[in-house]
Amino acid sequence: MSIATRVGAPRIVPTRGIPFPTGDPSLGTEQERAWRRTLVETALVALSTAVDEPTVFDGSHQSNQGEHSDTSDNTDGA
Amino acid sequence: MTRVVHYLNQFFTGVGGEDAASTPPARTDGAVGPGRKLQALLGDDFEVVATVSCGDDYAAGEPEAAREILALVKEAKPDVVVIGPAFSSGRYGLACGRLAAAATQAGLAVVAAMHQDNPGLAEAAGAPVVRSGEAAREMGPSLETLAAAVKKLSAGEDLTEAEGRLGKPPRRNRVADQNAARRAVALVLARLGGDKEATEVPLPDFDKVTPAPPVEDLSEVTVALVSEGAVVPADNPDKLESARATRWAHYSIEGRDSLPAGEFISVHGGFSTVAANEDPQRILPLDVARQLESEGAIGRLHHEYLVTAGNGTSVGNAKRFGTEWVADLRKSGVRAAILTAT
Repeated sequence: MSIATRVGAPRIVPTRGIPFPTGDPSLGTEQERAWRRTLVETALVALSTAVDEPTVFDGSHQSNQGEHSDTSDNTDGA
Repeated sequence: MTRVVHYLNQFFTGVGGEDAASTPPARTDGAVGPGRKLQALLGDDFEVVATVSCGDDYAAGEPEAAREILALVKEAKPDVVVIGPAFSSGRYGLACGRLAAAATQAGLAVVAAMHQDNPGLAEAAGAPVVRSGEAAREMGPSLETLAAAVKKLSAGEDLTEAEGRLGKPPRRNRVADQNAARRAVALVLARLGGDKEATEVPLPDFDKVTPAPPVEDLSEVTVALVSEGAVVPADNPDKLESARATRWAHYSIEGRDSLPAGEFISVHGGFSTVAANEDPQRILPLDVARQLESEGAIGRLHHEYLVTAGNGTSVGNAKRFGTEWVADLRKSGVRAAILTAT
């Protein structure tokens, strides 16, 4: 269980590393920006979704950055 | 007779209000102000032999203040040092917390009182602090709690939550009745018997936060970027701390589409900031947030971001930042926030 979940953060978007929550230095400039966009879009999905407990929104496998996040973690109350 | 030395700020000893906040420490004989009520509550077995007082600005601002106050306290040869109550007064609370820590370190028996949200609680560094009310109108019950704690402490007993002790009591070694193997088996049996609470290692108890309702239409609202990743303008104008932050800052992103390397840096002390300094947007995603704003996915991006350093931050301070951030954002009409966490 992640720290964010344990401390009770209601809406959580997992990222790739502590020193770069909205980036990934291993990627090229454009790819990194696309990854950052995916994260922020996932955050916007999270903000638009009703939750009643700490809920993980994982957009990292999404190919279509649409209205729904696709993991089973965030279906509660969605 | 147990000798009590009482610490109060300049207001409660009658020296004065804000006009007297820079008064240096001084000692008078006997009980003063709320100390008289404390004396009455403690009864004949205790005597408040001296009261030490200091102005709030001096006590909170002068680096040597706690040492100077402690020296005056020690000269009165206390058996117990009683501090406050400081209620939720910030500077007074800091002074009380620091004095409690210094007195404990000097080997004195000590108990302070303040409200549980007082930032001074973190300064006490594990020295005993019991709860008080939020403001001086709750002086009566606060002194009762404090006096009961003083009696318990003088009897050589530990203060617990039952006496209103705040924070986590320090660990003490003791010999258990049974060895570890027997206790472990007993815990397993208790668990099998349906007891889900029994443990020798209680986990920290975090507040339950009720999630805010979802935003119905993000294209209609203002969204803020906030972070504990310590991204600040390169000269760190507000001297944001890199660890154990006691404050937060806010910086304008009005008219900016990106956070260029060199203009912004992370001063976070808990990880290598090389990646963040190459591109501060690895912590604060301004470029894509601005893009999403221009595309209409969000109505408006808040004109500034709020930031602190989340590194060894006390839970008390973190809670305070959260409360202050919410108040600040609400006042600005912000409806949702993205908090990037390192």
